[in-house]
Amino acid sequence: MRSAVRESGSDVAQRPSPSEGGPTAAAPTRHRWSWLQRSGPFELLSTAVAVGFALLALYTLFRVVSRLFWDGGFTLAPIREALALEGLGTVLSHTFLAVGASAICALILASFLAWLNERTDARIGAFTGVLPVVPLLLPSIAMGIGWILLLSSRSGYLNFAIREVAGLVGIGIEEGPFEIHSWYGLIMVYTFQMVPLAFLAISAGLRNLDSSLEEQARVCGSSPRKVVTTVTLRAVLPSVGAAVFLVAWVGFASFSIPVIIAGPADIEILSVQIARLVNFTFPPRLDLAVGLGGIMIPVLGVVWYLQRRMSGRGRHSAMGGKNAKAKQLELGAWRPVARAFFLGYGIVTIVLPIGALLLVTLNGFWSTSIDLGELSLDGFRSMLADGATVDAMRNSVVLASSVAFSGVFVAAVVSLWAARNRSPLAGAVDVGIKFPAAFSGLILALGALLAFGGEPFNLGSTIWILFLAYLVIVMPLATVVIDASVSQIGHELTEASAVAGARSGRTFTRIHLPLLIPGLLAAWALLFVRVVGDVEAASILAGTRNNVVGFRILEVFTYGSYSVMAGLGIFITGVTILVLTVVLLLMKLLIKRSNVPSARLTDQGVAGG
Amino acid sequence: MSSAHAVASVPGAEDPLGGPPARVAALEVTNLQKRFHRAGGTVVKAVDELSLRVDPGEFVVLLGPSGCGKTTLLRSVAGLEHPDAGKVSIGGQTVFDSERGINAGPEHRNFSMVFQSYALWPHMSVFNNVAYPLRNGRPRPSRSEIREQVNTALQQVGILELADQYPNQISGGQQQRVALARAVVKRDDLVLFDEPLSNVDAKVRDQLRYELLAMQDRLGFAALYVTHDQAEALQLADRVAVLGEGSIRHLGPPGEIYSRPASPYVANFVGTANTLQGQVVTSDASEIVVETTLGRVVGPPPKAADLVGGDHVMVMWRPERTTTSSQERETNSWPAALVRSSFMGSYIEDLYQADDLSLLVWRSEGSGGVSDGDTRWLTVEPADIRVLKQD
Repeated sequence: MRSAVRESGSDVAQRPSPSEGGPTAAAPTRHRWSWLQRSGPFELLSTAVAVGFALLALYTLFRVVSRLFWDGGFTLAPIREALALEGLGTVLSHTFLAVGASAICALILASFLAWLNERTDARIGAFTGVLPVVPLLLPSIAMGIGWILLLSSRSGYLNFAIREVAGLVGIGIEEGPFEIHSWYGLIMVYTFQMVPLAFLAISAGLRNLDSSLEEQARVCGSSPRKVVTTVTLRAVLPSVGAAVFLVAWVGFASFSIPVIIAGPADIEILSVQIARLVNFTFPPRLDLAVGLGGIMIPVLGVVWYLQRRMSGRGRHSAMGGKNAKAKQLELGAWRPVARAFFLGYGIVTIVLPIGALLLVTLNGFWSTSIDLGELSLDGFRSMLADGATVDAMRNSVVLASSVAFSGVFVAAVVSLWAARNRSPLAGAVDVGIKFPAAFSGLILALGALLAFGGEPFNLGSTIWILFLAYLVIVMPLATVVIDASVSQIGHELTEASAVAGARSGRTFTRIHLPLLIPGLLAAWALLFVRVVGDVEAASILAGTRNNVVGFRILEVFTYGSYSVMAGLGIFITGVTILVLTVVLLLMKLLIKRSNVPSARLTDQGVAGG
Repeated sequence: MSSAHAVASVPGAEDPLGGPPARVAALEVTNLQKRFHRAGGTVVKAVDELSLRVDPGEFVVLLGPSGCGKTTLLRSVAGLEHPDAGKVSIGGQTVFDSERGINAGPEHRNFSMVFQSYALWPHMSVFNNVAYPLRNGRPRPSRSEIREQVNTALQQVGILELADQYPNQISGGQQQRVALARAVVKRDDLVLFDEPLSNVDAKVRDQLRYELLAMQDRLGFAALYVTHDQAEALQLADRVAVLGEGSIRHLGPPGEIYSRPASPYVANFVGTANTLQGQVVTSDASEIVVETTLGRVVGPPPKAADLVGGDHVMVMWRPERTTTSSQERETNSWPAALVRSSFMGSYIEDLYQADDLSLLVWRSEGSGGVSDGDTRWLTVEPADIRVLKQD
């Protein structure tokens, strides 16, 4: 037992130490460590970037919201004029009907897919978990074009195939039988657009659900179907609530689908009306556009409130205590059927639309008479001969890359800064940067136009206004992805670096950046994909002098050049798939080389031994 | 220093009669305060005007239950928490002083630390993990110097052959050694330990404790060590500080903490004890007599003359200091019936019932030969009795 205080002996390494010598020799130097001095240059830079960007985002929003109520003085004129707009009732009723019906369909479909994947043995590794999410990563404008090529009444490939098969059995059909430019066509494509987000939210809830809740219900005599409807889905109500909010947000914000599908069906959708007022009306009616956009804010607020009520009731259970793997229901003979359903869903939502785009591009024009031997890249080459199209493609790729790099850098600095500084300022900055997520790309683009299009910046019709607008639009997504990565870095890893004498800049470069690689790459890819396939902001801010693919598609849509539309759709789909594949491979390679685990970076470093 | 804290005299303090000059403390904490505000508005005093000194080469253990403030104190010393008031000096250098507005960050304080979770950076090899503190040095040592110091540190903890491995490729015990090597590579005079052995299994923990002590003997650093494990505290410490509700309840060598705890709180927390409530009958220079439900208990004279007749006290003694016999002894002897014997490995624990009281007796295997239900006389020597004023 140690009972005596040890003396410092001669075996202590000889090095300068303030502990040697008498008290007077060790008298402390008088240091004044104010916040400024303690912060260091990197901390100051991080603060400047974080606050600066939050101000940029809030200024953009402020310009559009203030336009609702201020025009030299307080006014309700934009809202009054918007409410008095001819046909507004039709626009609103059509929008609510389309979004509402699609949301219901999406929730049912997503719940079913999520349940199959998480709670039954139908799952096929990661495949069935990833498949329903893939459409989220593909440009929705390309998917919309693909569905037009598949289900147009006369020339749609699927309709043609159905007519041919019907003809074989003696049923003559002249047109159709389906029409994409219809209510059910619009609702179907909206549904496919909404399912990925709803699937992610509901899957997360099911994954965390303690299976003993379901087992208890079975022990009490409930059939599997009753267990699902009375226990499982009710227990994951918060996740369903989150899914409701997400699909409603996606639906009301959606522009690229209704702009090409709803119009020919005489379905008036709010987002399309807003864009039309800005870019397809002369002179542009910004005030009316802002007024119409303002109508959506309380609508989304109500949906958000209902979702909060649903998750706040407390009559549900989420995580069980012991993190046991959930027991899966054995489907028996239904298992191959369930797996075939997954496969069929993937074919319908991914393969068919992309296939249609590819077919038209390689054929050179849209026709049901396809000679497979005549397929070539000539159509694509002639598209590339068009200067405006090439400009748009180049601008989109350059813009997407620039926004992705800038956005990832800013998001990494801001996320780490906010994690280090748990202060009211950090909270305000976090809200400021993420707040634009509550508004659609259209509204934010309007804000950018009002904020930077005129004096003193005069960035209208330049690539810079698009750059700034995209940064504000994508930053919430970037910070959410990187926040998740930052939160996975145990705080002791950061503290250990400080204890080891590293200042915050060195900790950022030597500790945080290497550990954030997977998150940074994922964020980069998501930002790139979001921008390269964008149509919303492009419809407001782009033009002939700063053309991008999204705007070019709208241009050629007006004169019905479906081959060019298909070619552009294939281009952005191809670029998206290429970027995602390269990033995934790069992530695997870098993770392997740097030994950064892809799972949670707990304070244990990684599980070892 | 508040008189409310039971603090032993500090070794090495300046002799007012003109002895050798006081050594500069490796760590000096003066009147440190840290409060947390909970949701709902309650204020919790995590560290309550606490003062503590750690001499060069001394091993001080902070012991206490969860929420007693020991980790908050350690993190305040490290600069990872911002105290509300007080002063902290490391090696004579003031690193925190609320009155003068001094608050140096961890990177500007001369100390090393071993975290509970090891905090090894997963993207760096073992070598680079250990080299990292040296590479932040100002001035930065040369590559060869870094290599030499890192290899020396790895050799000292016995894992030189693992230098090129990554944390996910080695065991938990080996990770802990890497964390230790990283803490000693800079040869700081003060090393902080935040429950470093709590995530390691028992066998490895025992081995690591011995190695830690050997290393501390060899390198001579002062240590401030946080643990909730009493056995660990008693084994490692030169002095143990038992914390409760943010303040030091008893500071002293392990033997004193165990055998002569300063208060019922310390007696109940450290080790197992038989306790009785009672009232002082007489207290003088030769002995103290306490009336309890078991009868009269005789103990040694109290050190501080602050127990008088009528005081409500707690009487305690350790189970291993109790003997059993078939006959009553003259003093401190009570009849009790054996309820149950439990095999504890290195000893047998007998649970006796005396009226409404449960009493424990620890004996070695082979001694006793008592069956359940048998009545025996339990006896404790007066010198083994401790009488404590109620908290």
